[in-house]
Amino acid sequence: MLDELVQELKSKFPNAQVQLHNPPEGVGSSSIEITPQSLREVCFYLRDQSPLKFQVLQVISGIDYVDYLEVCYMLANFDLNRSYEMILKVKLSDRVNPSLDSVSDIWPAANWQERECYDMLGVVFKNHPDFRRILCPDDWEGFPLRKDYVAAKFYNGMQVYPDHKMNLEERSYIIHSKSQAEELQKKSLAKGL
Amino acid sequence: MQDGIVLTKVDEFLSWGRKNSLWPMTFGLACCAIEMMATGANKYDLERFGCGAFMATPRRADLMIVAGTVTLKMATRVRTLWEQMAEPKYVLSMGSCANKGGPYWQHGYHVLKGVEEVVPVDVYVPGCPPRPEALIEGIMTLQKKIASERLLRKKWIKHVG
Amino acid sequence: MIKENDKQHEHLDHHHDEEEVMEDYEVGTKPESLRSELLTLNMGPQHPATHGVLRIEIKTDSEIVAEAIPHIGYLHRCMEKHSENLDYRGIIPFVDRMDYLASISMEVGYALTVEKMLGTEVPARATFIRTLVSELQRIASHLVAFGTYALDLGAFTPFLYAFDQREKILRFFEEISGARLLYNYVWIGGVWHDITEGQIEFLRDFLDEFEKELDEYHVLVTSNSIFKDRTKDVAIIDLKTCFEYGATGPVLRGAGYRWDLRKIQPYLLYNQLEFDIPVGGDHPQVGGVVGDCLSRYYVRMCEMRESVKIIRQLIEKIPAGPIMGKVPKIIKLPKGEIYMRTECPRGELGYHLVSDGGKEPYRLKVKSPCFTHVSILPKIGPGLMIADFVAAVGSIDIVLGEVDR
Repeated sequence: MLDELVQELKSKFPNAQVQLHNPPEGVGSSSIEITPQSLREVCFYLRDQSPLKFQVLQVISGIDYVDYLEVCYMLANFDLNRSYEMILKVKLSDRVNPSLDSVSDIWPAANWQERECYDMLGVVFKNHPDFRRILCPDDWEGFPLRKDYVAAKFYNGMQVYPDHKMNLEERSYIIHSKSQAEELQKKSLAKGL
Repeated sequence: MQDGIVLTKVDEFLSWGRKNSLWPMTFGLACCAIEMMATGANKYDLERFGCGAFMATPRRADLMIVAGTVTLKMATRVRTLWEQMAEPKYVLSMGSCANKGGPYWQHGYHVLKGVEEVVPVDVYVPGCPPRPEALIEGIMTLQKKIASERLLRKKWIKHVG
Repeated sequence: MIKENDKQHEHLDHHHDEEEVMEDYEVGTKPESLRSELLTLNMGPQHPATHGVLRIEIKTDSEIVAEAIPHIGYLHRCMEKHSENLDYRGIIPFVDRMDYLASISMEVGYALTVEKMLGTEVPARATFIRTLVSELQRIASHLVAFGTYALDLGAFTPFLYAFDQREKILRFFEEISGARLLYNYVWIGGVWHDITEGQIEFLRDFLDEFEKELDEYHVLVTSNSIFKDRTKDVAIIDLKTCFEYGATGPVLRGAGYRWDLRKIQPYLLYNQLEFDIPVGGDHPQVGGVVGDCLSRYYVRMCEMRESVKIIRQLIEKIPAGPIMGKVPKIIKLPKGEIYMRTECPRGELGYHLVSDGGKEPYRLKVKSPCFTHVSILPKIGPGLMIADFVAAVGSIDIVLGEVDR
């Protein structure tokens, strides 16, 4: 079923560079990858005109592979006779300022899911109706689920990792001061990540 | 005034009155809140210790049971609510998340490692979540602590600042 | 004298002609000279309707809500960051603590996801036990929803009744797993401890007693005219809104759509069991419009009865055998990703697991049903009175541990 869908998308959207990824070792789910620029038109098609109408967006999950960021959209079809779900993927190669079009007017469920993706990974969604952090406080620095995230020791005067409660020598993911955080960020920017 | 038999007995009487009518504030944050609700329900009755009146407002309560994980976003509110309570007030830290961060101590960038970072704590109740019997033992320990307070015999100032 | 007073306090007067105002004033219209603005209230992180730490910023126009903006994140415990640093077995206690009222459902979903990638075969007895405890957990979770919903609306007795019955279920769970609330019972490859004949007898007696208690709950709460008036036709979530926002579970079933993953994509043993799926509108004698608070509440009550039916069928045919399949000592999943969903008491729970062949997951993303349900509140809030808003928040049945993870 996924093959037919891929053929349809390839014929309708030749610019989207539609690719089918099968699981490399045989177990797991397959996924369809498209380019970030063609996201909105493919989503409109999948919701309205495709024979498997994907009425529901279940979750948007962001993953940090160190060379690129990946945003996965889980779409589901809620027909009572046949239920189907698929994974739609988009790769973002720019790690410093990743940005993507928002699909919150296509599926209003995407509103909060995109806010969480921004909060955890830093992906900026354009034309989002209410763009701000959702889980972490508004003045939080950094994006926690990135692989190079280093937690801060102090937040607003409170000690997040007190010395007498932790074994700090082994904790490489905790920094001791704000200046050290800025140094680390400069280093990762310089590497072009 | 010096120590004497009259003041000791009056002290004991006042402490007896205060320890047998502790009014807790509902401050259930996470899973431990469900165990606190179960302690207040009919199998492990908390009403028989005088602690049955769960007040939602801090102005009328004198015991704050911090039940659940305290996150950084919530920590300022915990402090505000504690400051709104009237003296004499007590804090009971319930569960391992409120004691020292719980299972989230290692990679919890948003978890406060123990509520004692923001409010002074009187009694710690360990467990994840603590059984209702453990919470009752914690409240009885707090009652013992209150019974030994010297109200009139020595000028008491608790929790300055 | 009066004239002097008028001059002194002239700046305080509303400059209008009183007689005109009394004639023209109707409910909902205001003369232009009256200044009005929306009042911002904070249904703050600490509030007595014990759903947890949820902050809803309500902008009200007199008593009617004009805008409702939920703020979450007060219980964000960084579970997804922990799951990138722990091995597959060690994540099970963290998964428990997400929806702490339905821990078994969380564990079952996670174990099924990992086992599908790993390809292990779970023995038959373990599958029976998993289905049995899932349904028991569903009853326990719906009892808490029932008790706290009645408590929100002002009734204290149903809360005590519900917790009394729930204690019996927790007694059973304590005997098999050792804990009352967060069990760590369903492991990858099977379950941890076995159940005995005595415990099955206990379940039989409990189910007989529980069915009679359910009838009492209907007499006490469902046919109470105050309860009905407060929940009928309030906060209607229709089918279109459900699909747009991705609502599942009792919210979708309360809107009249017979969707349950236990029938549509059966997992565990649900394809061998006979049970019905109650939806809103099945019982028109209860009253109200399909999709309102009363229909969601009634769907939960009917689901408890169906769970009793399922457990009765399961107890009769439990097979003997081992309870744990063959699982390697160090679990390493093959490379790839998987997305799998199961039906929890609150909706559909999904796990997106990405593995790179190592001992730990590369990424574990949880699709939590309560997260999507809280995002519906800005849509249904406007137009309700504040008391109705409390009833609406209670009928969606949210648990903040799952929303914030």
